[in-house]
Amino acid sequence: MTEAEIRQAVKDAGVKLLENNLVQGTWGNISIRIDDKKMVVTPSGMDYIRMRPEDTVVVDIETLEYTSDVKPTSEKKIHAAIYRDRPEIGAVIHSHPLWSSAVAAARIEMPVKDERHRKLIGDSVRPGAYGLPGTKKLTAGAVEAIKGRNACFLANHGIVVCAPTIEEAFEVCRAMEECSRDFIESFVRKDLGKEEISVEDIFTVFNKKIK
Amino acid sequence: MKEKIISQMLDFCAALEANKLVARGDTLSVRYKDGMFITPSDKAMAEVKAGDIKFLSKSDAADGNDGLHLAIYGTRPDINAVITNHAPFCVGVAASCKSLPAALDDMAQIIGPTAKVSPDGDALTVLRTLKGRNACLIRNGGVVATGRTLDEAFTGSMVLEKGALCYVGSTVIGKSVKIGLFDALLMRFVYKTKYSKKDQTAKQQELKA
Repeated sequence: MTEAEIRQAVKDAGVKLLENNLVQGTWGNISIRIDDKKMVVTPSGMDYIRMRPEDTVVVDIETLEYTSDVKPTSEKKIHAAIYRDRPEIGAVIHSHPLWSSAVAAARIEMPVKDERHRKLIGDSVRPGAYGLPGTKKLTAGAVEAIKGRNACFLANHGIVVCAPTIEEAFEVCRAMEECSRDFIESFVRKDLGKEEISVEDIFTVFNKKIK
Repeated sequence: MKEKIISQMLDFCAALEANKLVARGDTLSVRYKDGMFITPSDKAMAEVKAGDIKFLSKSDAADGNDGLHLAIYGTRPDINAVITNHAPFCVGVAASCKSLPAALDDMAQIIGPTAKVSPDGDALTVLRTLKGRNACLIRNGGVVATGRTLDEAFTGSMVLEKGALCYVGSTVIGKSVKIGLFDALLMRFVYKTKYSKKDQTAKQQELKA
């Protein structure tokens, strides 16, 4: 892929994230590796619909330097650290999906039971240490938690996934959401002793827990 | 500008329906001159047409839902758009809790450290509950979400419903770890004054162009 094609792919991925409710508003960020030295990342605080391919930013994976007038995402450090650590990785997505974010807010490790999901994600998903957006603590936590896997939770924040291609990274995002929903609903099924559950059933268990 | 606002309102009516956030009776409004444009409360959002959207001046006699929207614009100069909705997890939390704490950073940023629950839908009570926040819940009612733009009020509605799902879901599997008050306030300050400023200003300018 040329740099222009990569910029377009990053833009398209942003729109896809928004359309699939994997992010809301301007949050989340995406990158695609150009080569060993450079990556294309989304800009900071810009609406994915309004964002043009030329608004994406080429960032040096080693130094984090960029020449564009547009400021890159503050989470570029997480993206760069994953590319430095994992030569096989070609795309990284940080998203805020519904059910995965719920597990991220509990700050616990989630087992991955479905064989289909295990192939995409790994055996389990660990939470990275809590840190404010853009901080070293958040980056270090994410890099540690994603080691040996293709996904991790960011405590009280969302998820980071990585894969050889942007299409595969999307598959990991989707698998994370399915797996997280099933994980949460399994507690409700077990508590109420029934297989089919509704939002009301989730609240039944929630109300018991907060009493 | 009037046509652009109405066209945008119809787009967001469709988006709220598509995301299953609204029930019959829910409305959205946008501040305009000395009043607001507001959708009708007797139609499903998916059925609203341009001709159904009415203008109400701040001096018009209004009660109920219309009165609540006007009261918000009258007391909160920072707000230019209001959405009332019945997002399912928000409605559930409003029935069980006194407030919804921010379990996620995006909710802390766009809504505030908590979304409080108003004991009823009375306009003055809702205004008190909404103070310092961009949204609140109403016990046995729905959600009031606001923003500098309609886009921000819509995003706030989406983020609040996700925040409610996350609070409930994380409690079910163990414990919802809340974001500390200092961090939540810091993130909200950065969001309002820096992170979202350029994007929101551009969206406000587009309507005026």
